[in-house]
This record gives sequence, structure tokens and C-alpha cells, in this order.
Amino acid sequence: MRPSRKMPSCLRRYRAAVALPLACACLAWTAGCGSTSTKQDPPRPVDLRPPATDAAAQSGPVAARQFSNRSRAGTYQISWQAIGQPIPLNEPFSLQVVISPAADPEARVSGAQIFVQASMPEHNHGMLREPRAHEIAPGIYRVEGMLLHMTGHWQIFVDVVKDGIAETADFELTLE
Amino acid sequence: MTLAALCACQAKETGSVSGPDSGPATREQGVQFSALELDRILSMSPLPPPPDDPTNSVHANAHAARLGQQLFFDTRLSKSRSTACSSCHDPELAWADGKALSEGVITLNRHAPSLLNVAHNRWLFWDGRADSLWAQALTPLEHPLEHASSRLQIAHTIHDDPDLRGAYEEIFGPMPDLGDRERFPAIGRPVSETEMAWIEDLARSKQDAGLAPEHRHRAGAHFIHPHQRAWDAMQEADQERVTRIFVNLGKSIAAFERQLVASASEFDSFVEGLRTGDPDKLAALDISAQRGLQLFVGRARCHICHQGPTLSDREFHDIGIPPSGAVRMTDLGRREGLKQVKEDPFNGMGQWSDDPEGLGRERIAFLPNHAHGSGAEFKTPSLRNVAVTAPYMHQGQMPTLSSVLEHYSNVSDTPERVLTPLHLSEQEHDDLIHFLESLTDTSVDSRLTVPPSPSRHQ
Repeated sequence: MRPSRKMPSCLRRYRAAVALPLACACLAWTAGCGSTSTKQDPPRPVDLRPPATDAAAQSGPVAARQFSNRSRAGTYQISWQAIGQPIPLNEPFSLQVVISPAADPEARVSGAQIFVQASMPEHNHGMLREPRAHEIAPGIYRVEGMLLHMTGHWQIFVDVVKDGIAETADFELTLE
Repeated sequence: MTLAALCACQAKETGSVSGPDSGPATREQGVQFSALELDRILSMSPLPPPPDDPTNSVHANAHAARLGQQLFFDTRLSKSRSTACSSCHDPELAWADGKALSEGVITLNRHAPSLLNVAHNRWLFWDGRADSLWAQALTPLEHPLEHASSRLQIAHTIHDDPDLRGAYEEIFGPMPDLGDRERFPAIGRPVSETEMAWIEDLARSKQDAGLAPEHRHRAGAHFIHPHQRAWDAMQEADQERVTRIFVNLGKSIAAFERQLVASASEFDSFVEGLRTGDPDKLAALDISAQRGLQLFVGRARCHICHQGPTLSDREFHDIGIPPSGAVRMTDLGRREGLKQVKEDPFNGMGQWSDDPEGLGRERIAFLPNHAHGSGAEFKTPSLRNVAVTAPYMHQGQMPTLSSVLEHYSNVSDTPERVLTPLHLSEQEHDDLIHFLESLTDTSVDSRLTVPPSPSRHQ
């Protein structure tokens, strides 16, 4: 699942492990997960390439892992990845988030407000930062100020606020 | 690499290792680390050089470090001319003071941490109310219970001492002429609303206790602190000139403190042995310490908070330590520190930062408005040199490492849900102690433990 890295495995200090999207809509993406939802074709991969106008987003390697899930009410398909690196342990990083209508993954949802929070349920605390998002191209948002300071199981919540209605998509990851 | 290290670890268990209690180690007794444990262990060493601090343009300037060294040991920076940074951060006591609560003008509310490897901190003070070493260094100088000085007094001290002034001007250029005492009073500084509220609370509580009714007038609605009164009498441009000197001194002290690095502990040798297979390096930890290390990264899960080469996540937690009975004021920890660091004029985003849009913004701009916990959280301390920096915790509540382990062995009702009682056996307790003792290295350059000779400024 993870891309190859240049450093030997024993020297890697951290890594993002398996993420298990919660929503059944996302489970329908993967074969062999027990889903019987075969009525629709799986959506094509979302293009997360940064726009040409955003020089910073173009620098560095493509992030290790892309997360994608449908919002709880099913309105949006939300995809994100860490910019420029695998998700680091206890170091600041940024996200690039792409919002699409669930019914049309090729389209983009612009003009939304994005809020990202993170929580460690096993620890009973959350992230010690409040990230901020801004739209860098139609439907593509950069979220700055992420910092996951501990190893373990994290829940990531991406809130999309559009036309006065908020929807949340849930993600899970494990940092080791 | 992992397998090679694992094999090397096993190969070294040949009887050459001994410990005070465990006796000679043998191949049969050798600790075999899992791949995951090895990954975690290797992430804890070596300690890299301290990160750059772009908010301080002289953080790596040798001249600034020498000036900072002079200032660090100089009692003239205090109001009483009897307190220096080294009073609470004594090189002979691993750059701490060995006291549960440090002594300033009176007994303070917090325990002084060691300064060894301090430049690796993301936040300074137990509550993280400073976001850089230079911002931290400025705080005690003007704190009414620590140095109790003022930036005007300190600026005059530098200005009037030919050696210090020469050293300063070599780095930062000509000092303004502070000789006109009308423009530049002998003492003065801006006094924060937080400090004024604290003074009023203190006076009120004294009066309520019948201790000092005569103080009431000093904390009245129209009370203006004499430091503030003198500061207000100055022109704004002169205030900035004085503050610039003050900031430059803090940045010089930070440049000195950045040199206080000690990263050659027995544990570091052992980890190097894991990487290279060098049996001499692997012999650095006896079998008991190795078992303690395995506990640390395994069942005891110490590594979750005490992670990486500093053995600290550099953030804040509430681990359920009751406040010291010797402290009367409620200590809100990070809840208050969070507010203070955002309001600090010397934070990384402020006008005195040399990188307000870079690291300074990264540190400050994304802080939440409120700490997430309902309890008081304090910074996770580094465990390097932990065996020689007793007592422990933010108010020195724990006198020994054993008492700390007892806490974790029987912990209950902490907001940190991951903290469950470890129920350590006697041997596990001893093993962890032995491992923690292996993290000791206080061997900084001896020339840094005393003030530099004046000739070094020339």
C-alpha cells in the first residue's frame, strides 16, 4: 500500500498505516469487502494534481497515500492527501483536499468552507492545532497547520460547509 | 537493516555485559527485540543537532553565543544583582537546581527543568508560554519574582559596561546613547495586564488574610506600576530602541543555550551498536537496562509520549499528577500558556521575530483558541538526563524516579485514557530505572560551564 522509500525500513521513524474509511459508500470502492453494491461503476480516481498556479504544491514528491470517502449525508466525495510527503509523526504538514459531488466525481465543488479536525479516541484528546483551509483552485483546497503529535489511531474529520449546510466525512489512520 | 541489527544484538550477548544487579549477561539472557521494537528504538537515537531557529538570526552566531554566555552567568541583570540564569540552571546540577520549586525573590510555583538539549524544544516553560528559546530567556528577566529587572535597567547595564557593550556592538552594531536619563530612565518596562491582575489578586488575598492591609492602595483602581509609569514617559521610538537591545540580548542567551547539547549516553552507544553490530557499543546497556528499554517501547508504552531522539513529543498532557501542596495558586498549565504565547509580543509572529512569516507563523497561527482538555496540561519533558535531574514534574511533586514509576504503575482517573495502570513487577520497575539511568550524558564542553573570560570578547 505504501510507496517505496529511499531509507531502510529500520530507519523509518514513522509511517501511515492502513486506513479504513467508515462509510459504506467508500467500502463499495474496493473489491472483496463484502459490499454488494455493484449497481454503479466505481468512480475513477480523483485527480489530486495541484493546479499549475500553485508552485508550492508542485514541489516535493507526491504524498504516500490518498484518502477518499463520501460525506455522511452522501452529498460529497472528499479526497485528500498530505502534500509533499507521507504523513509525518509530530511534524507540521499540509493537506490537499478535493471536493466533488458524490454523483459526479469529475466535477468540483468550489466556494465551500473546509474544516479539518483530528481526534485520538484511545487517548481522549485531539489534535493540538486548528488547521486553516483555503481554496487554491476550483474545488481544490489546501489545509495548513496539521500536526499529529503521537503514534496510534487517529480519526480525521473533514467538514464541508456549503450554502449553509455542513457535512462531515470521516477517515481513520494509524501512525506508527 | 532491521534483521542485521537484530542479529547483532543477539550476537553481542556473550557475557561481556554486566550490570549492578543483574550480573553477567549471557546469550540465553539476551533481550531479543521485535522488528517493531527495533524501529521504535532506532527512532530514539542519535539526537541530531538542534534545529535552526530562523526567528533568531543570531542563533548560530558564535559571537552572540559568547555574549549570551556572559549574560547567562551575570547577576547584574537582576534587580537585586544577586540572581542570574545560572542560579536556577546550575551547570553543576545538570543545568537545573535540584529543587522541587525554584527560588526567585520568593519560592516560585514551578520546578526548573534542565537546559541540556533545550534547543530541541518546540515550546518553552512547562506551559509552553514561549515559542522560542530567545522569547523564553526574556521572561525571567522581567518577571517580578525572578530577576525582577526591567529592560531599561538591563540595557543600561550593557551600555555602561565597556566589555559587554563592545561584544554587543560587534554583533548588532552601535548601541543608541542611553546616557540621557530623561529619555532613558534607569528602570522601566511595559507591565502586562496579566501581571497587573496578578498583583491585584495577591494584594487582595493578603488583605483578606489580614496580612498586609497597607498594600491595598497599591492595588487600587488607579495604581500604575512604576515600571510602566517610567516606560510611558518615553517616546515610542526610544521604547523600540530599548526593546531592540533587550530582544538582542535574549537572542544571544538563546545562542549560548543552543550549545548545551549532550547526546552521547550509554543508550546512544547501544543504539549505535544495534546499527553497526559493534560489540563494544552493544555492551553499553546491561541486560536489565535492555529489558527496561523493551518495556519502554513495548508493554509500558512510554514511547508514545516520550518519542523520538528527545524522548518527548514536545506537546502537552494531563497525566493526573496532583498539584504540589506547597503551591497555593491554581496552575492551569497549557490552558493559560496557550493564551499567553499567542499574546506574547516576542512570539515568532511578532515584530521582533526574524521569521514572522515562516517558522513563527507555523508555530503560532494554527494554535487553537482553547486547550482541549478540562484539566491542567503540562509539557512532556525530555527523558535525556532524567536520572540526574530530580525531582520531577512541573512542581517537583515526585522526588525520585521510583516515585514516578509508582505513579504510572497505579495511575487512575486521568484524562489521558491511554494511561492505564502498568502494575509493574519489582523487576520491571528496576529494569525501567536502569534504562532511564542509561540516558545520562551531561558532558557539555567545560568551557561553557563558566562565564567566558573578558579577553574572549576582544
